[in-house]
Amino acid sequence: MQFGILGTAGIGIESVIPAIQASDHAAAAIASRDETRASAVADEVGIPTAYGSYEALLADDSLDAVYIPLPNSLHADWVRAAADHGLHVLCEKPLTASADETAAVFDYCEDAGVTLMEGFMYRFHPRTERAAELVASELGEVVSVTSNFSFRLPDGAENIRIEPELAGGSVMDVGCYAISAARLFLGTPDRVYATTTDTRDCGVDTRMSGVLEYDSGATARVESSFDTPETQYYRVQTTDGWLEAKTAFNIEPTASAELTYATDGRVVTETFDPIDNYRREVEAFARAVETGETPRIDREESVDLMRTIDAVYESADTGRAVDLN
Amino acid sequence: MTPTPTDITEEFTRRDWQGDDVTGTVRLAMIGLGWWTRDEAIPAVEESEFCETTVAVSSSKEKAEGARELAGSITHGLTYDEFHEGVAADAYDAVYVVTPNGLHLPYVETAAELGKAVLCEKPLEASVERAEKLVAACDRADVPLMVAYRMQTEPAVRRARELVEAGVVGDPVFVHGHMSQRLLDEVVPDPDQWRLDPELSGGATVMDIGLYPLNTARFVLDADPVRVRARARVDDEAFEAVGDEHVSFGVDFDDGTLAVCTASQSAYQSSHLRVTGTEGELEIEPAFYNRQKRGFRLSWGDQSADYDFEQVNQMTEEFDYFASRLLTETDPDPDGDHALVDMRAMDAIYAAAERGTDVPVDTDVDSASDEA
Repeated sequence: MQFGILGTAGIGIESVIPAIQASDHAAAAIASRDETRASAVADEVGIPTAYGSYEALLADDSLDAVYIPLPNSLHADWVRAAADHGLHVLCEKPLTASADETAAVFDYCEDAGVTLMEGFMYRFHPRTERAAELVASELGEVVSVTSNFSFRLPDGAENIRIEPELAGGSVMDVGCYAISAARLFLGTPDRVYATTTDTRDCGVDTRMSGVLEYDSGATARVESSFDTPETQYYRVQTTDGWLEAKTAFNIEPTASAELTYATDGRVVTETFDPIDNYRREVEAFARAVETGETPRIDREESVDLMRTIDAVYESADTGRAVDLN
Repeated sequence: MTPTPTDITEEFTRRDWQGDDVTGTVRLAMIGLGWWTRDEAIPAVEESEFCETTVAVSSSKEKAEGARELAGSITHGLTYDEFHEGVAADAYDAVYVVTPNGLHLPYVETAAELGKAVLCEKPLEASVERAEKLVAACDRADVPLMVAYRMQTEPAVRRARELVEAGVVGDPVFVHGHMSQRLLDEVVPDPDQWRLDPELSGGATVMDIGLYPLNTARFVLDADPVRVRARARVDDEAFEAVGDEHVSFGVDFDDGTLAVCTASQSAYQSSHLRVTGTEGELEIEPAFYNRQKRGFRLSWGDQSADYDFEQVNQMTEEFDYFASRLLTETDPDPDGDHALVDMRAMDAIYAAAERGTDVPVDTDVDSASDEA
């Protein structure tokens, strides 16, 4: 498949473009609002065609799909524009800035007959697949999940991650991983309590702490922040044991991944060889396009994740628990 | 459906050999009261479900009677002569023979004549010929004979065997095994000990510890040795009489697996067993010391798994296995014929070290022990 890349974001240049190039597919074109930058990046990463506008790239008939790593608030409009051109869309997380908008872009893509998938690369890592399998089949009933993705965002940096107009904030940037992991092991919560803090007076949350509550009695505690050294993990407590992953979400393709779990009087640490989970994400997306099958991260998952994020914000705003049912 | 690694390693320390129908207690006579019996065997029996020590047999009446302090269940302390005379034979059901290797035979013969089941320490005897006589004595008297290879009831080893059998590592290609310790510096600090007397031990390193990687490889692979090659070296004069202080040996198994093993009585305490197959690898490290926590790693496909499991007392497992077999009137393994294969293999290893050539292993044990 021929991929077009919308924008010159770091995640595209460093991770997803090399992943597409390493796969059986091609990064055929890249666009930036600044044509000089588009050409410079195209040269640097070895993409044959550069465009000075996103519209021009979308009009390129040789493309099959686009990858969108734009700021969060711009996702929805450009997903629709790509769909208008019959292009399948792999869009970075979070897919949009609200559950309603997420449902709306899925409606739009379904009407246009194109595949849309939200890019949570960690879901394609063999370690994540194994964790989900172990929790589903080996460890009994899930009692609680604790998950955190935080890192230190340098002060004073002009950064899309803390721009309110661009739907920045720690929840949208990294907290969505912690919430995604809670959902992976427990599904959509029935109630959400959360608190957020804006420690930099920047108009968005820089810290979030939340509790997801399930009618089954299970709970999840999710956290994110821009104010601590990097930490990213999930830990699942079950009736028969526990399971834990560190560097759980954004792991270098050159690093091996560990998963530790305990049950039946044994503690097992499984180690997974280094792997490029972006490449697996790209390949899974392309396979879904080619076969017409529903992608692993489907409409329901993306919409329900965004409903949970909406509830986190609503609870933080109102100081009350938010019912999701 | 083929069991997965997760299925096989579930309840890692399960006693797969113990049925629900085991009831009763086997009363044991301990033949030989060296440090192993006092520090390892009797305490392990105390922890067991199906055994108790009722009789202690030693060279002097005083030492034998003194063993009563080691367990409240001990009612008789006998000299070796009293044992041979059948004194207090009603007080025990089975014997655990833990004398020097070259003295196993007379005690096993007496036990067999008394109709007692036998648990005999490895190696079976100090020579193939005496080992054959030992097996023949038990066969003649129709008493159960089990040889005390404690690794065969070690959960890590049993799980390894199941994983190999299930094909998780593909077809086994190589085994690497190792066992070393500092016998004189750390284990038994006596240059005149029986292990260094060829008449009593039959060899110091291959017979005492080289046997661990050899026999455990056989058990994990479910295969027997057909050909060996070996080197032995002596640095410390205390080992000159036996001739084997540091040893390396290669073993070709009848399933095609090639093994390389090393053992030393004068090297840093270390032990491992690694099975490399076409599709994966199993590593038990540390492997062979009851006093060291066993490690277990399985690698296959693009992942590896390290298992941290509840450690068992290998001797308690072994005694309970032996007893549960007697109580259910089932023949225990490893039996005398199994142990004779090791005796022949070790004989071939010593011959190979001396000649510097490959030596075939005669594994036709049944006919040999019938003739003995």
